Amino acid sequence: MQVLRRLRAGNLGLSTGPPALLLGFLATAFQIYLLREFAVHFYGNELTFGFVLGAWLLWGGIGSLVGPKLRIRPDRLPELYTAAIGLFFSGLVLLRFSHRLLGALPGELTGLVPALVFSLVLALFISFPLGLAFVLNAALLGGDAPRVYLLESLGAALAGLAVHLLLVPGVSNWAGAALVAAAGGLMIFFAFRRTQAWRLLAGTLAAAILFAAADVPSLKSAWKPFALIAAEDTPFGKLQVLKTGDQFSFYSNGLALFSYPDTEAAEESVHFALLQRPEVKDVLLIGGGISGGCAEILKYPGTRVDYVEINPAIIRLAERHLPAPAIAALRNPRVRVAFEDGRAFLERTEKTYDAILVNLPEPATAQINRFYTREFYAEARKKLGSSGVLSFIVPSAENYINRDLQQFLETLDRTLRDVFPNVVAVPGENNVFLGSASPLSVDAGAMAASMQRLGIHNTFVSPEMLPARLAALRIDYLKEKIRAGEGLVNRDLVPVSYYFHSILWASQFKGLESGALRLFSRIPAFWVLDAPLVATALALAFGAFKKRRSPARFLVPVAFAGFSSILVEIAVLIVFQSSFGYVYGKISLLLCSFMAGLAAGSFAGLRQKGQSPAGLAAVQGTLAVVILLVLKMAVSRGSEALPFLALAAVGTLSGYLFVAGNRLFLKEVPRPGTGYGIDLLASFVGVILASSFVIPLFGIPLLLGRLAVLNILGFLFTLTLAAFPAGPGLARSGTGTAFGSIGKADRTGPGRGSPGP
Amino acid sequence: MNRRQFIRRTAGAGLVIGAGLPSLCAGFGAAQEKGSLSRVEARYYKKLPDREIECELCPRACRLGDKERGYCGVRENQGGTYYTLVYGKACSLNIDPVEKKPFFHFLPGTNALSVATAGCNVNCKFCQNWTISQVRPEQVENTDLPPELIAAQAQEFRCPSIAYTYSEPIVFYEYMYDTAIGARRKRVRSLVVTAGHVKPEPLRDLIAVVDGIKVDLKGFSQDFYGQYVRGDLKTVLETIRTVAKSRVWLEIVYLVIPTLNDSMAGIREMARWVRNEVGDHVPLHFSRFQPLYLVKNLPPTPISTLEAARDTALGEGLKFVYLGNVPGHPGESTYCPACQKAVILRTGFKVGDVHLKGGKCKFCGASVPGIWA
Repeated sequence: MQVLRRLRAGNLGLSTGPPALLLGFLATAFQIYLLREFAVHFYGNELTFGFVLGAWLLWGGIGSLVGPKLRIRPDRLPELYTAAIGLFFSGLVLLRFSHRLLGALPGELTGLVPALVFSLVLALFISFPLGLAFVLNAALLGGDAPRVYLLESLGAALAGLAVHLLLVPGVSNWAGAALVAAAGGLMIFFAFRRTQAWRLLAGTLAAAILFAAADVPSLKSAWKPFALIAAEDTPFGKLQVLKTGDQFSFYSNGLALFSYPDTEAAEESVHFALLQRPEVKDVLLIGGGISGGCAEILKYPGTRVDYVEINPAIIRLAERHLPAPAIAALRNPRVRVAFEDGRAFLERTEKTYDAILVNLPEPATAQINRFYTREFYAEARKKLGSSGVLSFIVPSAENYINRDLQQFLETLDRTLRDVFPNVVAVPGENNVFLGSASPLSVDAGAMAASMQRLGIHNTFVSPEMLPARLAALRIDYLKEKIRAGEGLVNRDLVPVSYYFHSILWASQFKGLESGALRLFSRIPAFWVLDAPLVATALALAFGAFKKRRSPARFLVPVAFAGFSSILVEIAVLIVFQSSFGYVYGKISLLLCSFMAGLAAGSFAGLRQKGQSPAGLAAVQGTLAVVILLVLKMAVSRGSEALPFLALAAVGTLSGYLFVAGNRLFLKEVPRPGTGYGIDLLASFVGVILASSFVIPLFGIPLLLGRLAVLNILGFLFTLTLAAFPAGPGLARSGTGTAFGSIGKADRTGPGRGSPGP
Repeated sequence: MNRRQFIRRTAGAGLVIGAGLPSLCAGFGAAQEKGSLSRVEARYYKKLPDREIECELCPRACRLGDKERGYCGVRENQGGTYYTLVYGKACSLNIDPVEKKPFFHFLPGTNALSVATAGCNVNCKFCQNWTISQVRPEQVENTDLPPELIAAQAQEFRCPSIAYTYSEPIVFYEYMYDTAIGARRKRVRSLVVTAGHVKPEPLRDLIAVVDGIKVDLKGFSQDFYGQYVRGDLKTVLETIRTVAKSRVWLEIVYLVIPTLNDSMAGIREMARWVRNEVGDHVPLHFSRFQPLYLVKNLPPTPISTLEAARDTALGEGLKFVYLGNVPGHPGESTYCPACQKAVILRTGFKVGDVHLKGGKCKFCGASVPGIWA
């Protein structure tokens, strides 16, 4: 204890706040950039984000757990922070060259196992040291861990704001990360004010400069043998352009968007739809205009095109690098270009179209899934004329449709048929789906006649090629496959197509990934959503009415808050993107709201003179009500401010529950480790379950409903504790860690995390 | 519960889950379709002591214990006897233009009844038919289609030829062989579309019963074959040589993949080899790579690269060099090697005017090699 008194913050020449503030700042900023870069190299979808977030929580908690055992002196905190910055840079370098390390080509798909391994390794590099830092901060503040928690949350909120401001064109991820790290280095210097701090600062700034300078060269090197000619970090993702001979290929977050020229892709995206209605005049094209879509539409006399592209950087890069003919179509007076989310445009427009062509990647993420849902098709039908046609394309297989591909295609077909009475699918390496209120045809002869009448000359969708592609055997085979089963309807809040695409994607790797995802998809909702609730209710009832109660009873609200808050975060992000469009640029602010709430809640808990089970019950009950309000918000469109308010509210209640619950627990048992262990496990389980299959398969409304019930159970449990005060429980051990006698409440390691960049 | 107990119990639970989950997932990974299997004794293997066998069909020469399967996934040792599991078990059956295989000098403008089973003895990262080639037969829906029925169907659908294609017909050798014999009796020709990864003896026997073989020469370096195909280049080159020396019609396809096998120096070397080792009359197709399977994120092949490859091969003296997957390109048509006039005009799979008579150019009378009737 004397040693600890000497090591108190005042004696080390630092003020009490900044070191803990710095922890939250660094942890959150690092996490955001890690997630953004991870998305680029492992085709970020919600599943891989779940891995990164889960790994982050796991290693951060382990860092906090083993921290006392490592007996690192708190005065080494500046070195630890500096090392964390260095490890952060190293982690991003490892990530950039991940494909090289795996022996894979730059554009090669790598499966879930490498993504999981990399997320564990990177989180070990970055989150583990920050977990250690939490424990040292707690020691520096005389064991006042709740105060550390508060300051850390404030630092996290600050990071969310800072990163959001840095997410501007011209500032790449690496440059932004370098700036954040440099800011961190300066904060370390001013917080600790020791002689050695100069050296640490100098080292950090030098590393940051080198790191930022290495961005472009390392990117080019990582893409070899392909020639990278341009890269830009945009609020919508990292855009990259490759040049192969006279061909240009555009990538967004590591996924191929389009190549130019690519006549086959351009023709497929347009002609199967427009040849259904050769008299077409008004066409809405969502995506793919610059890669040839507009030019193909203009082949139809008198057509007018509204081309919607969400990311203006794509057009900007195209104008800079593509040859003149590629841009010429955009300059045609019959083409109007709008930079907006395609779905938001569709909902806003009052125009009626003859055709709506969705020329986007397949639903490989919950974000893109929004363009393949019943809600989207319903909106599209409202904006189509009575004979209007909607079309989209997905990769398929020409000669055999296996079970995974069949399930995926089934959901798309089923969803389309839920809205349009007439649906056909064109067979081939890519399947083109068409939906309309009027009859459709895939007759090669009829299409050829239309082309001849209109004087349209194509290369792939042509009279010479169509007979083989539209052979009766192939059409019948595809139809039989996609209508063999019931098929699930893909919804905004129940993104099943995205889930089945994940299974299909995973099945290419011959590992256990696809088996695991398939296994999950066969578990009935009752066993995932309801049976655990029943079991929890029984366990709580048993715990509430035991004669000798465990002190861990006060950690029930902590566990429930940890589990619920991460799930609500993920749910709100998905709701935000489905309601208001692309969420990529807003994610830091959303996270900031949650963290600010967390800070506010823990502050309220700290300020309160004494906690009681009745107070816990009241807050837990309030959390249940808030979750129900989030559910209401999810199913009905409201103001864009609501998701921010929802996250702030959930954060506030969770922060209070954590501080209050831990204080009550530690009054009986001075073991700070148990509280953060429970919180860690709960959050970890929540993020893995939500990302992997609960949300995609069962949907957000069901999930939020069950979460509300869970918190109602928690409310009833803590109410029982208040009504019937606890017995002696476990005896005080009088031992514990080096910080045992001063550690009151502890919490999760560094950064509770955001579910996506 | 104290911390130690908590960790112990969590680790214990984790171990139990970790031990059980892989087998559970593997079960869901493997047995989806519950496809039926055959049990017909394979040819080309030798029995070894202790109920082991060694396969002699392809250079992998799998040495297998009881209940083990070969690399291809469709042949299994059961108690010391080697069986093919896909005899009569077709998972894909289509009618395709023969130009799609591609065969440009074999009955142009006709259709081929195309059949495949699951399985393959190589692992191309760019496989177009990975849904059947990179899986086991239990993972696809198989239709019982005995050899004699295929030949009958070919006649019914007026297909003068049967193509063994999509996956790798060498792995369903017995099925292919018996079907070819039955087809010959009905005057239906047989075409094999193969990666050429086969041993000499089964190849020689196969040559005796089929009419055309198209070999996919995927690259011209063992590095490429090792890294992207998991195969052996020397074996494939030997296959090409053997077929070229026989009476069976041979065509070669080279799939051009950006930066991986598209260097003109390598293509020149390959073209020279074809000219010197198998003859300048053997049709060589340069096919455009379309991103799919494990490399679906790679860029497609620029057409200019294909054109450069064609020019390079023509420059080395090869007479019939084509571009694939570029409909309407002049490189799809056949030109008389003597007078250079177009004797077969093609647009994609559609054959237009044909200016051949008795296998000779109608303009100048020069012989144009191929199977024209």
